[in-house]
Amino acid sequence: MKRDTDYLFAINKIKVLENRMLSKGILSRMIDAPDASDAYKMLQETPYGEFLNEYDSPYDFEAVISKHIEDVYRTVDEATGNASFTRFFRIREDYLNCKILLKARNFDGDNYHLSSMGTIPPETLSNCFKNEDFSELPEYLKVAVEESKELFSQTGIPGYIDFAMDRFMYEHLYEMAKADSFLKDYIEREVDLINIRSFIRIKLMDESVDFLKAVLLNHGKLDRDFFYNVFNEQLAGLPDRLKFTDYASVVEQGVKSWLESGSSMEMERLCDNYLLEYAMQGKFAAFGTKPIWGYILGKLNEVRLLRIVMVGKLNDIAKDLISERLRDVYV
Amino acid sequence: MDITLGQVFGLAAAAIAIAFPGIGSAIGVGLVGESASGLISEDPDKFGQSLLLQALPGTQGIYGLLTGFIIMSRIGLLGGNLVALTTWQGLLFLGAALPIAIVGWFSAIAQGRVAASGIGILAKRPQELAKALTYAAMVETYAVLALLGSVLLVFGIRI
Repeated sequence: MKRDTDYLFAINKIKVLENRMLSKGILSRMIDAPDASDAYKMLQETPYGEFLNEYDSPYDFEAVISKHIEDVYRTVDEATGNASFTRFFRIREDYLNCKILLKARNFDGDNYHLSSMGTIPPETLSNCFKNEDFSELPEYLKVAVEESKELFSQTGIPGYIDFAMDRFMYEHLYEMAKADSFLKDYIEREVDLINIRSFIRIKLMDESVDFLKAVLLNHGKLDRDFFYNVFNEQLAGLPDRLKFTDYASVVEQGVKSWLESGSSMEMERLCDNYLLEYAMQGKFAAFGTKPIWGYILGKLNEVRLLRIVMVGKLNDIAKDLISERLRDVYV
Repeated sequence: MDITLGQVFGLAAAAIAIAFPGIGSAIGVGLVGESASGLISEDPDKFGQSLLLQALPGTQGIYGLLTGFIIMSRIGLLGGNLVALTTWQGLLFLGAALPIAIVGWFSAIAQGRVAASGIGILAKRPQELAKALTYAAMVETYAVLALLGSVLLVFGIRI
């Protein structure tokens, strides 16, 4: 029987580790640094610092992030004695890696970077795709890859690889999450926000409702019928239709910005902040699984911010522009 | 020597007064200990402060033992001259032991949870330890009231 006191050791270990997460102050200092190299050196005083000796060039920041997340996953696995927390996130990486390989197989050749944070080593995945032999893949991934390939060969539209893989991934993640009310709620909200953005994109592209049907993901709080019903309405009216949902503020600001600027950047930022705010419940919980999920989600948000800063610095993007793209932090 | 049913009840009263708060305290202290171990695994300097929080849910076990000793003393078990209690007198002792047995049991677990949450405060804001201790100490009130109730009841029984 599961009790809310099952992970007290892990929760309080995590409370200390949260103190060491990157604060807005450190990220701001990195943005203000004269160049990427100086920004990178500032990580020395953070938990990322232990990998900086091994990877001393700022161009190696992805490797440092991978090493650090591996470390986070190992710590959580050991402290909880339950690998299912990190498996949830590793499986997501497997699907994303397969998506990259499926596209590379058709378009990009060998120019791709795979995440090493999945359950399957990148080399194994690459070999499977190179030899067109998927027998080494777990059944769920094999089915997703085969069906995505089939869909692409039928339609010839690369986007269908994304749609199909995303659908399989979220079906799988939902199945894993439904035993935990906090995580289930999180996935439902994530699916809703993805569906809302897909809906807006399809409306802006003037695509048909059939295309929308192919793109929408299952298991959101908002029913698929909701999107079909509002499909023929003006996009500017969408915030009104979602006024009494949890997404009212995100949609109101996001749609306004999207329609005015023609860019989805602000909407993406608002969605990420919304999900982070939900995850931050973990910071204030003392029992149950929330603090563990919250910490991992907070860490993944942290590396997303670090990527924004480092990519910005390496490409000499103006400080203001990098700051605009930043999301909230977990701590 | 013949044992009366009253004596059995009297002894049972002492036993539950000691056992139930003891179980509660063991659970409560265990919860805080598990939490504190997580904290200490990353920040060993906070051992002393965490120990204060861990000690709090242990008091119910002490109150239970105290009540048990008083009952044992009153029924003559400690001196070796067990009083020939009637069945009703035995039941009165049993009833008198219930406040500390039940309240001690549950309040120790509740206090353990509050103190375990306090370990989180210690991890984030060690300067606020006094507040965490105060929250946990509030639960103590009810254990003290139950102890007082049980002791007054035990002393009120005429034998």
